[in-house]
Amino acid sequence: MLEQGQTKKPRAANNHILAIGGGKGGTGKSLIAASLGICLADRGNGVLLIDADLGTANLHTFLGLEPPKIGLSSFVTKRESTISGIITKTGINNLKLISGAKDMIGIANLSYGQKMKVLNNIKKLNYRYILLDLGPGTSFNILDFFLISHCGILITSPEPTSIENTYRFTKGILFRYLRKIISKKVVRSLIDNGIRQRNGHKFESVFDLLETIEKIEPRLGDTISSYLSTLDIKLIVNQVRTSKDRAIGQKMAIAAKKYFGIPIDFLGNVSHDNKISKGLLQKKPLMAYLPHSKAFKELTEITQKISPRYQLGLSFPAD
Amino acid sequence: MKKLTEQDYYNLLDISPKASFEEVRSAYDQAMSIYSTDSISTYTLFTQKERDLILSRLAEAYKILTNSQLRKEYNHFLIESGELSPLEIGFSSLEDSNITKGKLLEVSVESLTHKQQKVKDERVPSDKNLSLFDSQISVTGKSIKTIRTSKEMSLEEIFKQTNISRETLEDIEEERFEKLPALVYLKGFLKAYANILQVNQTEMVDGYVKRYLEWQNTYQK
Repeated sequence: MLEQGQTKKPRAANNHILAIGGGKGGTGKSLIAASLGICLADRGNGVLLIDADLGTANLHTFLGLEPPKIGLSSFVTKRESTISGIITKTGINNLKLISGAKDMIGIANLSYGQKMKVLNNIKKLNYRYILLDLGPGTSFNILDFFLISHCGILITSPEPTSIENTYRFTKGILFRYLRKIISKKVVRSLIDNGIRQRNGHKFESVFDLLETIEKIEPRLGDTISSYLSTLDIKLIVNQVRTSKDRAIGQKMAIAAKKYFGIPIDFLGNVSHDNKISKGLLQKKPLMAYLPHSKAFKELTEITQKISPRYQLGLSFPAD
Repeated sequence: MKKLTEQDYYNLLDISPKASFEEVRSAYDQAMSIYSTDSISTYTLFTQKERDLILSRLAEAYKILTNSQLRKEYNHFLIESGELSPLEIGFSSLEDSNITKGKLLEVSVESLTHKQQKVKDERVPSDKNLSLFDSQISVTGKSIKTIRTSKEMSLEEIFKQTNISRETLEDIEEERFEKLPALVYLKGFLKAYANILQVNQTEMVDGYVKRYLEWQNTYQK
């Protein structure tokens, strides 16, 4: 039923991969990724930031760097033969970057083979923390990058549209995850249909899908529940302004746990900060203004809560 | 894993079957702020149909769990259907376990039930005064720990709510008196801890402090 050992393959490298995602653009994913990278590096960890916002990468700007000449696409197109060849310095101690800046147009449409090559090579890198800054949306490439991580961090802002996208993203992750861990053909096609027709509400909720699966494979429901409970997904609410905003994260975590059966761990709020918006506008590097902001203090606290606990660690078999 | 709308009332509200009326009330308020139609935190998560169903289940849960007679019947129903073990209901609902276990121990349980009924009636106006330390059970680190674990609370949770460090909480429970802070702080900690455990504050503070002073007299002379 489940291909044993497929999901929990021991990793050669002793790294902890954190994916930073969420459905909506403009919620501050790159800012949080860069800031967390800075905070983790500041604590003496070797950190690698990967700009996986394919096609619209701009992590280098946050670090105050000129667009690096090499990036992910150099590796994809084999201009660089090794992944270590595309790692660049950031000018910050312990912090390295794989940029996506000079990526070719169309890199967002990585082929399956290209995606696998990138994913497998990332997993082998020897850094204490590897931070993947993902782009917006719920394409398979983005979901797969999220799922190879040990821990996925969802970033939302307190706006309804962003919350809506966060739930859509979580649903996407869930369906993609089930699709990968369950090898039974009939269940797979069920999920595929569910995904394709989700806007038509074929399965109104995740439970509708689970119910249908259970009718076909009575014992699979329990297996799925236990798999879902091991997912390590965390949530940060960014750009909060009011006390009402601050209460949203915990509630989202409770609702998502009850609804999806995934334990979502609310990491904390990051305040909206004029210093940051101003700094961004002036194209100053994050380090110039971040340490003086309220957000920095909150991010430092969040950093302390990120510890390797569970592993998502999906490794993909050939389809 | 059960569908949200099919979970029993305790699970739905995320409370222990032993929860007091007060706890039911605050859990209900919390749930309403999560699931109500204008709640931003669950925006688009549910279809309107699902949301209506959840809300009507919540209203039902509140109505039944805050009425002692209805709650008793509901507990009985859960036990009958195997969803709940009589032990989980604990102290305040011994009557229910009596039903399932048949007439065994009728006499002794009867007297206990009587006593419980009294306690139950008294607790309605103010739960904070509920005495969990039976007069025969003295307040010790161990008995505090037992109460905490029976409420399925981790030290982490206590820490989050009281800001008392895990180490100190552990020192209290393990009675590592030599490591405990000065009495004035200790009293404050115990008070906050008693509050979270919803046991009688004075009883817990005085009982524990008495033990602490006994130790001090024996070992620090």
